Amino acid sequence: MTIDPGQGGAVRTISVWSRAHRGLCTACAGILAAAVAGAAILPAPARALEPARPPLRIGLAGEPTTLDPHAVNIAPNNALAWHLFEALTHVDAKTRLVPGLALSWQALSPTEWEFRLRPGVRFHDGSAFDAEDVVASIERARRLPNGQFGSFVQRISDLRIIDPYTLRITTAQPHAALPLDLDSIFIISRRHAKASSDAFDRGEAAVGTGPWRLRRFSRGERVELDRNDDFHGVLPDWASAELRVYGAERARMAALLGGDVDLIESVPGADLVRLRTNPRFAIEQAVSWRTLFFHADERVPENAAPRSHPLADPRVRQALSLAIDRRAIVGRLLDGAGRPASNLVAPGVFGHDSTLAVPRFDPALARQLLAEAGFPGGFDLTLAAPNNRYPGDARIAQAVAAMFARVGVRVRLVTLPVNVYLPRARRGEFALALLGWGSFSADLALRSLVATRDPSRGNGGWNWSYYSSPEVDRLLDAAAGEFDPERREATVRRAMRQAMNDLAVIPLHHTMASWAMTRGLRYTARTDEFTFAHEVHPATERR
Amino acid sequence: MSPGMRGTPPRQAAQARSAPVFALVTLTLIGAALAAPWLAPQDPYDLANLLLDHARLSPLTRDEAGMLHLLGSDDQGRDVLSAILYGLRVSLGVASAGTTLALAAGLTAGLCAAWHGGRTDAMLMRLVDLQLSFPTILVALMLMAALGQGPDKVVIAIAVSQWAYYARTVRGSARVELQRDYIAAARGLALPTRRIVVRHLLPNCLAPVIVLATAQMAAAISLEATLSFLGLGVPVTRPSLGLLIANGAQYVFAGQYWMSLWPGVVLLATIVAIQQAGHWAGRKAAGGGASR
Repeated sequence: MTIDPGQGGAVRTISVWSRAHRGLCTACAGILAAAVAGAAILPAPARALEPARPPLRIGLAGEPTTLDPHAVNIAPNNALAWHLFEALTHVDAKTRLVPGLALSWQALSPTEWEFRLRPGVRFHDGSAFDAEDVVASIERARRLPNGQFGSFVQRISDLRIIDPYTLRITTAQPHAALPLDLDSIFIISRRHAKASSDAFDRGEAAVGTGPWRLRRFSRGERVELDRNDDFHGVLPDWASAELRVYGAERARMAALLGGDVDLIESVPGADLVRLRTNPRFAIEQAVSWRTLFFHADERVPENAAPRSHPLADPRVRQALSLAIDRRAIVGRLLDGAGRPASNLVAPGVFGHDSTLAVPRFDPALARQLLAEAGFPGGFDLTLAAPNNRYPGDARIAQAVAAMFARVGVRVRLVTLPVNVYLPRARRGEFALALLGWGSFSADLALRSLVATRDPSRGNGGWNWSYYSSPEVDRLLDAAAGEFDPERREATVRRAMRQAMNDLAVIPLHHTMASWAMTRGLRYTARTDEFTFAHEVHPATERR
Repeated sequence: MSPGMRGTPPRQAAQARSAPVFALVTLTLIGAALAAPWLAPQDPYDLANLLLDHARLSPLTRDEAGMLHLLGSDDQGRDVLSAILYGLRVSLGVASAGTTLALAAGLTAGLCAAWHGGRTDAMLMRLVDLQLSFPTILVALMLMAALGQGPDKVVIAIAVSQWAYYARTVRGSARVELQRDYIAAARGLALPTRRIVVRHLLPNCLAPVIVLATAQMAAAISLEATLSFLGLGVPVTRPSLGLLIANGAQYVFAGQYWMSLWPGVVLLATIVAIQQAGHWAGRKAAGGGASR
């Protein structure tokens, strides 16, 4: 399923008011002297013409756990952070890299980058943004105890401020993906560089340059936002927005059907079928960047009997992969809201290797491989999955458990809420653990998920398999030093091919991101699955 | 004294007439649960039986293997009828185990309090007061959060959240019985305490407790269903009625009602039938008591 091509153009012609306002802003920027006065006076009458709208209400699937943008690297938190903060680089709806707080960047040498920053940007508290804030943010992301964004800046060895709007970044080794990494580092005001996560959650430090200001954050329930009228980009169409959390699929659907919210993300597959025929609602859908897969713990403790750790045998991992009927999972369980995966990243994402085939479904061969590996009678296994994170996660795990049962592998199924699940999975408590990962570049995904664990280099932080291949590591290092995008992509593809052939992970499918909204609204499906209140627009009339 | 039949309000008379029906329904359900492995067309707890290709078939359709799904199949390819029969087994099993455990604990505590009186009585009854001041579901939720998932954990949660009702009831009737002559006579014979309590006191306190237990059994079933519905009860691979309802609920908006509806109907029937049968037994017992 692809995005309606007609809508791409429509994004740029939003409403008469918005266009007028943008023109107005450009004019203001031109007449620098009048800018301050102009911004203060001119938008007021313009806004008076805008009909008073109730806040935009959005039903979120995932609960943002904190407002600290450098603490917990999970999608719900990052999605919320994008409302309040920005990064040096952004990605657009189709994961292409676009300027953010940096207007442009270039590699001066294999290990040195120059970023030119956007002038005239103000934080929500009125203070001006410059290179000092970038340095403070990178430092905080690196230093924050238990912060999960450190790996994105691990390779940075030096930061040099040339002038307030020019920053030189040196990396220890050549690192061609630095601009992509910096998309994950949210820029906070340097005044709050020492703030604790609590200070962000209380709101006092949650001061960014993003399109929304924070009004209220009630953890697990809702976030209330007000438009940042000083935002340098396209202003949101609503003066305020409410992001409400509905973890359960049917609660989210009920909220939409009952009119409690205007738009929901992550629509259950079965309901999509129904909503398509309902004239009150509109649907947006796209193959997302998220791939679901299992990590199979390959560790064999010293002096353990090899037969006690079947997953270390590649034939066993192969057998498990062959036992999974991906077509049935996508078709029957998810009502088509997914695509069987052969890669760790979705088609179209940088580094996707289209020569890899989706693993076959062949239970007979799976049984044969298990017998060859010395497990003709199967074995017992703990399979774990979150039950409130990815579309259909617990049901998928259950279906996979049933498929394994048919080749003789007896599964103890553990499904847990994601906040309990992730810490336990990271401690390596489960033999097979379900994970979903979204990345706009395969080398970033491979580095986190399958590279040999090496905390000092920020590698393998999520490598729950403990897979280790010198060849993959070598290719990833080579890609990091390759500045020619085409050659770099070719190298990344080789690493992908190697890792997938070794079954470093057992892939399931790429998820389909979906949004449902009341008719009259428009949202362009984002590959990164994020729901941004500032990208919701009133639908233009269609005839 | 029980009111004479002439004075019986019509509603009570209707209840009395329908009582055997409820008793019959209760017995049928218990029988069906016990015979599930022989009655069910499929073993829904054997994961190897579940095929996604047979998932979400509407009632009265045949799957590719030729099996007729009378009540349809669920999202994992479980035959709904089989899942209900096995689920009923789990629901009734867990609820009766929980009720029995609660009953045992409550009887012991209640008799202890009545027999010893004084400080023991005060302490036990304050504990009961404390526990009863919390809603049952809250107590159960906290326990499940602490204990984790599993049918055995649900049994414990039911027992812990219900023992107080029995303790209070038993204590009340035991205190009344302790004033009676036969207890005084037994004491006069210098019988050992255990013998007086177990052989003389306990049997005479039992009637109201049994009545309470039937009502509490219905409450235990719905408690288990609630916990499982919330995903805190039984494991997903061995669903009870509550979990079946939860699993199917996400398809209700999509018009695929059968995965939730039929387990829901059976759960409702079970709870109502057991409760009504309990009421009926209770009134019988009260009548019997009056004629003593």
